[in-house]
Amino acid sequence: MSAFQILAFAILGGLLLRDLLTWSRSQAGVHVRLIRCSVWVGTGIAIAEPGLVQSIAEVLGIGRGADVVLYLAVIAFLWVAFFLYSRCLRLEREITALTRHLAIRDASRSASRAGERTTRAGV
Amino acid sequence: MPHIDNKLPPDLWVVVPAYNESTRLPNTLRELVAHIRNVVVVDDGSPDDTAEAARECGVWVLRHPINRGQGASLQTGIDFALACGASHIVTFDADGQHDPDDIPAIVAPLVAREADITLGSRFLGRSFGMPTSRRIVLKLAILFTRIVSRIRVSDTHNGFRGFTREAASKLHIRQDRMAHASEILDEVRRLGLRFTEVPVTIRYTAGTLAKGQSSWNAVRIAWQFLIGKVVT
Repeated sequence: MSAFQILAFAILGGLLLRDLLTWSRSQAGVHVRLIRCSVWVGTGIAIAEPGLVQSIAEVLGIGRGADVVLYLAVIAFLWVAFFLYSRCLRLEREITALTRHLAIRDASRSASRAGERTTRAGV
Repeated sequence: MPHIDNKLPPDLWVVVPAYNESTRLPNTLRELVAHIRNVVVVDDGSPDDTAEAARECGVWVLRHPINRGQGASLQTGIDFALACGASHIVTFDADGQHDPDDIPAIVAPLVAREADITLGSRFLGRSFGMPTSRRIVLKLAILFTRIVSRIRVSDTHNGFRGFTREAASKLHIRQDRMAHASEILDEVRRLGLRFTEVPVTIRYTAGTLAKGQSSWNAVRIAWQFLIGKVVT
């Protein structure tokens, strides 16, 4: 076993252990937790058995195992970027809705040019 | 004493989004309140005295605690006007580019039930002081709208519009920033709303051009619009 494999197994094992120990307390859904654990296990298997990734590459017609990893990384990056942008946009819309609610709740008008103010709370 | 235009519907509301317009807004509002009874200014979190300047003109003032963009301000004003029982709503820029004398023409097709939405067009009407670069960008925007939104109009980013109550209730602006203009046209087609273009006058000044959107910003607006269509 190489030094890289020892280091990688230690890190992946730690991540997997943390997820399993906090399983019942996690706020993430069951699907998200399963996917996360599967990623740690799958990465560990790929590092332990590089020939396996090579075999998958040949089956898929990609050629090199490293290319399979690269393509998966690119797809994962795009998915994460899309997911985060979508979350960010939803958050922005919620902030706008809150801002709008406050603005309408606190609507006011000077009843005359003299400056007497009226409000229209709860519109 | 203001002269309220009796030919206009009594429940007509004018929505004026404003950001850092404390100097130009009073003139715009003085012209507006001479014609219209119900005017609401939405101060989009301006650091200057925009809200106070509006209050002194005796109009309704809504204030976003933080800046959310022109699209968000318009929707806030429209929501408020609808809650106050507006029968028709007109959107009007704060910087004095628009002419209040055009309001009856904007409202007429709505009152006559000939259209659900009226869109002001500077290319059917008149524009004073429009730079060539702005004209080119606006023409490209028209082409962009024809391709992406599949709607044929002569002016896509004109803030002078009119809505019936029903149309304003159906249409919900989700693009908080400047891409709302494209989104409104997109929604008009998607919702099958009847629209008509109305010739209006636009007055460009050094001040409005300095504050207005730069030509390069058009690319960012197009990107915001497209990504907003994809990401929900």
